[in-house]
Amino acid sequence: MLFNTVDFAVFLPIVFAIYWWIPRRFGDARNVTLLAASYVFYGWWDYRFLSLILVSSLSDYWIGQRIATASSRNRRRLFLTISMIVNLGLLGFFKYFNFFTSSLAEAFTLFGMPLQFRGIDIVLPVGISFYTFQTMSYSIDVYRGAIEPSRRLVPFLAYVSFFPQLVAGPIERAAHLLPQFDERRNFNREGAVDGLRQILWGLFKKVVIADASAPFVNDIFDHHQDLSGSTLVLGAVLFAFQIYGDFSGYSDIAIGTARLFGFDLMRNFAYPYFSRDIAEFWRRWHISLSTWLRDYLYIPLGGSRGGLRRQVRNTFAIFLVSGLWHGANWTFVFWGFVHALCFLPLLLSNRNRRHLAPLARAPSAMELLRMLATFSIVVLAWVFFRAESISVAFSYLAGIFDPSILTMPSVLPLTVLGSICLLLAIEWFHRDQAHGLAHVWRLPLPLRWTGYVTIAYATFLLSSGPQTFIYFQF
Amino acid sequence: MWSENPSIRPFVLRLFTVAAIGLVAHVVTTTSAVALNRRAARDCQIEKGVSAVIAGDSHTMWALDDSALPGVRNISLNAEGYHYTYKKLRFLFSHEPSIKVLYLGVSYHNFSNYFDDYIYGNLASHFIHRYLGLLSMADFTELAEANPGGIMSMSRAMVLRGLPAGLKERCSFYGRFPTKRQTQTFNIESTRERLRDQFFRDGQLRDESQSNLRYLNAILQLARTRDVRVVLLKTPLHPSYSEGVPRVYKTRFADFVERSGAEYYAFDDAVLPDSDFLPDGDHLNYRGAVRATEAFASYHARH
Repeated sequence: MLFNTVDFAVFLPIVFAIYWWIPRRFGDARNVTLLAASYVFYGWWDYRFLSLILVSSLSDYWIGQRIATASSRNRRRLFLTISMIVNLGLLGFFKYFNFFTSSLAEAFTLFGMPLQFRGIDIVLPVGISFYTFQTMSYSIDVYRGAIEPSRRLVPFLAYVSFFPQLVAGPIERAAHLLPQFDERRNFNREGAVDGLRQILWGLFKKVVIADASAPFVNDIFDHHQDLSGSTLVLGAVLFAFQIYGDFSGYSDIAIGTARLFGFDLMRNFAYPYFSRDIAEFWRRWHISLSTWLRDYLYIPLGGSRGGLRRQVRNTFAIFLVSGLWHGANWTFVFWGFVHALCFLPLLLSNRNRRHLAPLARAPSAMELLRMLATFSIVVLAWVFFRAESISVAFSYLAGIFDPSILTMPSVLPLTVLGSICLLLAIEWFHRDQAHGLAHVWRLPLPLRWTGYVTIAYATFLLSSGPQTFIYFQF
Repeated sequence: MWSENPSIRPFVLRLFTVAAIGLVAHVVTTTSAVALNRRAARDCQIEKGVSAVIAGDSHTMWALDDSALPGVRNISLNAEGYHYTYKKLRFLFSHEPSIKVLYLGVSYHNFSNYFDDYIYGNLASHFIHRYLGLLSMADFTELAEANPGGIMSMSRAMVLRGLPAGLKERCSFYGRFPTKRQTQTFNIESTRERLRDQFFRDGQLRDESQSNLRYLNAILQLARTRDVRVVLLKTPLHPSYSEGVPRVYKTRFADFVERSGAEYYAFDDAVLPDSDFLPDGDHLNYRGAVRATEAFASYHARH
């Protein structure tokens, strides 16, 4: 079920009421409640998906214990390999089978040896990219000795399937989330209230920004050959905010929902469009995935140590994998490639960790210029992410760099653009906070409540019916 | 137990209070939208000298240019089901006693339940805002009971679209022949797709629209009580479209025309080429509308 639906609005209070009704001393009963609720939540999409998450969960639960009790390093490595095979096998089959086989067939055709290929009708299970990565991180951390294996099945299953973050992240680490299932959780009113604020902010971004941008983006990308350069720029910018509103909005709702139950999830977005270079962008965008790839791929490959060749290899490895993780299409891989090209010069010149200091309230002209330049690069790269194919993306970009870029766009969605400006203003004001409504607690109660009702009502009015979150397809 | 977490109760109470405030705000804005539209409706008048109106959906709206028909006003609106046509005519006849003739668009598609989506289904929220000035509390209740899952989207549309219209004092329920000229022409694939959408669902023949049938009869009854002459109008259809209409719908249509006892005009004297139809085969483009209007003007003058 989607977060912005009546189904979820009914589901959440019921789970909340049952969960906190259970006495503290029955901690496992609370975990059972969360587990059952999570399976209902996930099965609501398609009950068949439950078998996959069970396979992934149970295999890694068993493997975690085998790794910890293995008598030799080789045996530990063997069990870890089994975990990788199970999880990557699930992911590879359901997500990439048709992509790889059709790409292989095309490659053979290119070399004059046409292959007959017939794809299989495979339904992509929602959230598979997220929970397989989450369970793999558990196995790897147990192998590394970073955490003890879980010896209680229910908390472990609940950790893997925890419904707020199950289908679109954040991709949690076992060391951070799993222990919270063993803790005695008390209702924290301040945390719950701020959690509700974060949910509200997430809904605002999803409905008022992302869903409102979608029709314009679809129209512009579908008819890009007939449109002016300025309209194409508008389309790309709107998509940048569509995907940001969609994905960061979902993360905010997930984090806020988790707080209602006393859980703390990791931050996933830190206002990425205020980044001053691409390296900073990747410290602020989809933080859970970028840190996952850093810790489990980049660093094991050697990171930024070693010679030039290794650094280049490792950089391309994480960005191409990041691109491929997003979807079974060469456009996503190319998107990762573009980001790798932009990141590499910073890494090689040791300037990839320049902008670690917080953003000043009044940035300098140079900082503003850097933000604009970074945003422009990101927007142009998003064209590959959104386009159906690489050739369409290049056609779109060619259309941008045309004299018609100096004309007025043929569409001007003032309400959406106004909402985006409001979003940027609010998020700039909250750039050192976890979400855009974090400072609201300082206002007097009547103003606070007026603000809540206004944002909620605007979100309700502008909702055109639940649109799927873009990142669900990953 | 909740007693272990004493701060839950005030948290939930405050949450309910905020939600209640939001609900009250929505009720106030929705009521305001309805009130403003009712006030605007009081000033909705048909031009002087009009004694005949054309009512129906997009078929009549796009087919008959009332600027070329003295004494006739086309009040048809896109996607208007007879549920709303009835409410509109109920208002019209009580406010415009000069109206003596009603030309009512009726065709095969009006008997298909695909139309019910526009009133009671997923598309209801796209159109309800046009009729806010005409609907009574009983009408709103009827719509809510027929489409309980659509209450939120309908109330949302009433505020988003109905409130601006009410503030601008627009008369949104009387249509007109459109100013934008439709120039596209007939396309067989579009026509086949149109027939599939109108008469079939998931490969199965659609049922009859009980709502349209009920309100068609209600319109005829209303006209009788108001002493208004009714002429049923079937606007021109491309032969490929007509041939594709399932027989059962042709039978339903013919039975209705016969049972109604009303006069009937089907533009048999207007022979229109492919280039006069829109791609879907059951609407006329501007060229077709010019010819159809000429034929209609002649019929209107003779009768």
